[in-house]
Amino acid sequence: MFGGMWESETTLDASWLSGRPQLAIGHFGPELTGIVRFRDEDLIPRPVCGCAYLDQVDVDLTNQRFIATNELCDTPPTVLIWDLTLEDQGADPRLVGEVRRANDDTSPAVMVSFRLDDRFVPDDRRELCDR
Amino acid sequence: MSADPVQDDARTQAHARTQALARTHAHAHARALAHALTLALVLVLVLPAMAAPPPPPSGPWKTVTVAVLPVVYLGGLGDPFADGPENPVLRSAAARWQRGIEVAFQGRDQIVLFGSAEIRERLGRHNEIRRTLELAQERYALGLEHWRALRAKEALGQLDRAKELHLEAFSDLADPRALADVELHRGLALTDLGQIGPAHNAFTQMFALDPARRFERGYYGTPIEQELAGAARDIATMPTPSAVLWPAERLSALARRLGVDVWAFGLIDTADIALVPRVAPQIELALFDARSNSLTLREMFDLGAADLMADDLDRAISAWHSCALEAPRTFVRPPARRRWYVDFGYAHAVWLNHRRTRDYLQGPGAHIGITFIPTPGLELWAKTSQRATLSDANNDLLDVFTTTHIALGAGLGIGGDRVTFSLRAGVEVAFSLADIAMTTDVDCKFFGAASSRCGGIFRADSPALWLGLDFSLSLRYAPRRSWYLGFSAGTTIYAVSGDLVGELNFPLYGTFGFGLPF
Repeated sequence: MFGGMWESETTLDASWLSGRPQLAIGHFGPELTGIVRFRDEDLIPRPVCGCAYLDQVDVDLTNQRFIATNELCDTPPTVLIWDLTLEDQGADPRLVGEVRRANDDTSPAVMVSFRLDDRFVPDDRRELCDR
Repeated sequence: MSADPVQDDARTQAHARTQALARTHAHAHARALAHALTLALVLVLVLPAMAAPPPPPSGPWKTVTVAVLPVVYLGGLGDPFADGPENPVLRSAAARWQRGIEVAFQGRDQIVLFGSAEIRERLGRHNEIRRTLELAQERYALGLEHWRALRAKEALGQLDRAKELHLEAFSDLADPRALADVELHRGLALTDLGQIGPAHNAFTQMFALDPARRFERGYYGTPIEQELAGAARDIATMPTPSAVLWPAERLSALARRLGVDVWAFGLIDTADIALVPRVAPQIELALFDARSNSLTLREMFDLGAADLMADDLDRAISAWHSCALEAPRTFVRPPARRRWYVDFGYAHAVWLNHRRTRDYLQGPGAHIGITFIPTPGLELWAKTSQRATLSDANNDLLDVFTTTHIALGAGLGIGGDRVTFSLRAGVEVAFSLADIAMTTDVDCKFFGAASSRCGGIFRADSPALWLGLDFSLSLRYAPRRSWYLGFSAGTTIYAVSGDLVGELNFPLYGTFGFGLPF
């Protein structure tokens, strides 16, 4: 359902996050894991790492939704919370939702939309990025 | 009232006549109506009975064809040169008993009867028999010519051939006097050639074929008359002349040719009357059943009790008849018991014990089974199946693996030709040539076992081997004798397989397929 390579459809442009992140998701039954990848030029305000695992994934298969956290490489680490819902009614499935910073009520959530690039996740996209 | 009394009288008379005439007509109509009703009733009752043929013999009994051979009498053989006074009496008695025997068979259920004349007529329907008989007669005529011309050797050659041909044409039973003529002249020719022994045998054969034959004393020379007298004595003193007169093998051969089931023959034997005058002449009635090749009736009757003949024969024939009829037996060879059953088809298994996966593991595949039934109720079986264990919905089984299962054992079966149910037990060995890897850790599944996030994977390196006990229920359903449908369900309890016993065990399997019995 959620497995595959997902590309951001829009360039995020927020004070704390900008660019076009990419999701590599492995979905097995009720569980999900994966990686959020950032390009060097994407991360705002600073490119602290190229990628990060999706942690604490909470999958709601009924509503085709999952919530996952994402810990960046800065110190103390910035934790992002992704809340994404699958929209697969159209020709191209999409993951739409928002991402926000944990423990930071001052930063507004950023609306995101990911387009399915490929159901297959190649091995090199599963490897951990160099922190 | 009229004034003229004459006219009144005339009117009265006319009226009376009219009334009488009317009554007469009424009576006539009533009689005619009664006659018509009677006639209609008679027609209703009688016509259907006349139109309907008599019901054929019914019942599940086989028809028995009985042929009656001519009654033979052996009287006066003590002196074949004198036609004693008893011979006409015996001839008459023979004819009377011949008729009596035929009457005794007539009208009995399921009996088809034909007499001696019909035997010849039926034989004559066969072209080869008719032709053989003609050749025999020609040979006999040639032999006779040679013998009369004092060419005894040539005569004997022709007569020998005539004898062979007569026997081929069953003249010994159908026309014994013709063959007796041949034997007589064979004996004469042999005597001319100085072969006294064979000549004696030929004369004996002649009397066996025609015991009533008599000769004029002095017609032949003394040596021949001596041989004739000796031959006649041989026949007269035989303990069981009927066996010589009607040899069983000849009766059987002719029965096969004519479709006769039973031969009936009568023998009036008065040969020993001269020796024991007080013994009343008797007739021996015998029935030879060609189906069993044996005498099924042998009765002696007093020849003189002519008034009791019908009763005697009826009693004997009735007793025979009650036992002779038999139901048609259709010998249906029971179909050979099928001992081997080979079936193949789809197999499916579910691992009931799967500690490393959260969902059941399904294993579709194919199977081949062989069953041998050494004795009803016992089954020896062997089977092999190839099953692919598929990944579950959670992908806890990381890769599909294929297992080969080989099992053999015994079973107890119940059922008939169509449905057989059996309970089976045996041992099974299974192996897989693929590595088996299972985990419930999602990071292991996505990032691989080498990932630092992977908590651990259970892995059984190939080849994996299971060994255990197999228990199953089997059902064979055969809509036709030539094939069947096989179903089975069972499980295997693996006892020896290293680590795998605890991780994957108790596959519950089912099969269904198509099979052929042998």
